[in-house]
Amino acid sequence: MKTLNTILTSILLVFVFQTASFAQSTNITETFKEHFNKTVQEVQETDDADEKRAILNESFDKMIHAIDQIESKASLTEDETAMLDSYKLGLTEKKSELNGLDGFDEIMDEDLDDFSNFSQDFIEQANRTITIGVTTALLILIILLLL
Amino acid sequence: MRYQFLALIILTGLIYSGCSHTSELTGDNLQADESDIDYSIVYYIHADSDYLYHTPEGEPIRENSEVLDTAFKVAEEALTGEVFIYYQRPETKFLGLFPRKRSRLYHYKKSQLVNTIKYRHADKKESFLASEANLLREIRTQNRTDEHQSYFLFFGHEIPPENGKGYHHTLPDIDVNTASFASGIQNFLHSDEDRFNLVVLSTCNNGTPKMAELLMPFTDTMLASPQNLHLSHFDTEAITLLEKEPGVSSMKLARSMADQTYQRLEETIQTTITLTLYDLEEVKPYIDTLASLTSSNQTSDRFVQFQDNVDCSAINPFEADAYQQGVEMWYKPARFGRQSGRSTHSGWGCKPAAQ
Repeated sequence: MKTLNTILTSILLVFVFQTASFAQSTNITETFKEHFNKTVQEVQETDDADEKRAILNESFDKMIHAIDQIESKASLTEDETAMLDSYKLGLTEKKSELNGLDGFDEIMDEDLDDFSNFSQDFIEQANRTITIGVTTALLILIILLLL
Repeated sequence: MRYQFLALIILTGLIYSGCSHTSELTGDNLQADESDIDYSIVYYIHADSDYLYHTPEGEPIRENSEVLDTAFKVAEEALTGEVFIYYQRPETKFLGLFPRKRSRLYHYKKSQLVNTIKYRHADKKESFLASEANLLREIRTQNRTDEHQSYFLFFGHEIPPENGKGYHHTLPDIDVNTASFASGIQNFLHSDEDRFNLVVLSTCNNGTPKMAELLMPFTDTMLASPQNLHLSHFDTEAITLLEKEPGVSSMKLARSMADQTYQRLEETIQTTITLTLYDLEEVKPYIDTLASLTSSNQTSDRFVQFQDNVDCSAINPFEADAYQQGVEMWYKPARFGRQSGRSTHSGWGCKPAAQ
């Protein structure tokens, strides 16, 4: 009986350890996609253009801030940093276009729903994935930043 | 004592199953129809990465599952052909110890599912597509008609121009890049003299001079996107033309795929649509010149490598007319963004120059 307990306990420990390891390789782009999907739903549920604009601005800011946090807190390779920078550049451009900055014309009020779809299309585009592993603690931080 | 014995049996079973790389799920044991096949189609559907997207209603769709559904429909209608569907899913371990075989190969012959093989990659640093090509060589039909046609359809994220570690989320050490892709699909061909009639790259940013140059020895035509292909999704129902119009040309079939895809995307998305069909025999006279011209403008800057392509004509002293032979384009500019004003496209995609 003692041997059986030892075997079962060992298996359980290995299982717990491996589960923790797997969590560390969670893909962060999925987290961003889920976050922005909620943003698009919120934008399209309101009729107030100022509110739509505020929701989009806040969402872009949160994602950009989350990337800044990853870059400052995680140990990243050169490729991972380049991927994140490219992703951040795209988000920054969308925010500039929304607000008519950096050479863009401001998005008209009546186009805000379409612009939110355009931004979601961009975020979910086929090449938009960041294949870096982050620690569980950092992933939780990112999710909290996006809430 | 009885429990110890049971635990030992379970462990032995797990170790044994973990050691094998493949196993047959359903050998339907149908009477093998040994008559000749008219065509072979390979679907490679990559799901070992982030393939989450949302419908306009906000509903999540994961793991390229819609592409898999389409592939099954095509396979079930392939009355005179053979269809191989690879669904490459993340590799995991049971209890963190025993590798599971989560990827699948569905083998259809003359519209019948004759085999479902579950497999995993034993060598975590193998050449790209090596396991898949080995499986195909073991089970494919040898009897072919003289007019036999071969198609290879790849669904995934952008195949990067170089490096490509981490393309598979759970197999990060397999190099996936344009060169490893080209050499990888070569192993699916029947013989050294064999060629694909069409290679479809259902990815972003792979309609490039370099990809065309690399695939030219192995395929007659290539359908790809020089810039964005939303959600990596070419519509492929048009393959059933092989049944409806036996002997249909790969160019005509690819045009039907592009037409259908363009119509769907035009109605639903706001980002750029760029679909290009390349007749590589027509492209051949100038492809080396074009590839060297565009590569001389490329940079090893990693930041640029991870950016979207731009139209090659935007970054070079580029005479677009000189590189139009054999190129058919389906293009619609984005509704917003910096490239929303561009009304035409050369059909060739290049990485932007470093700032």
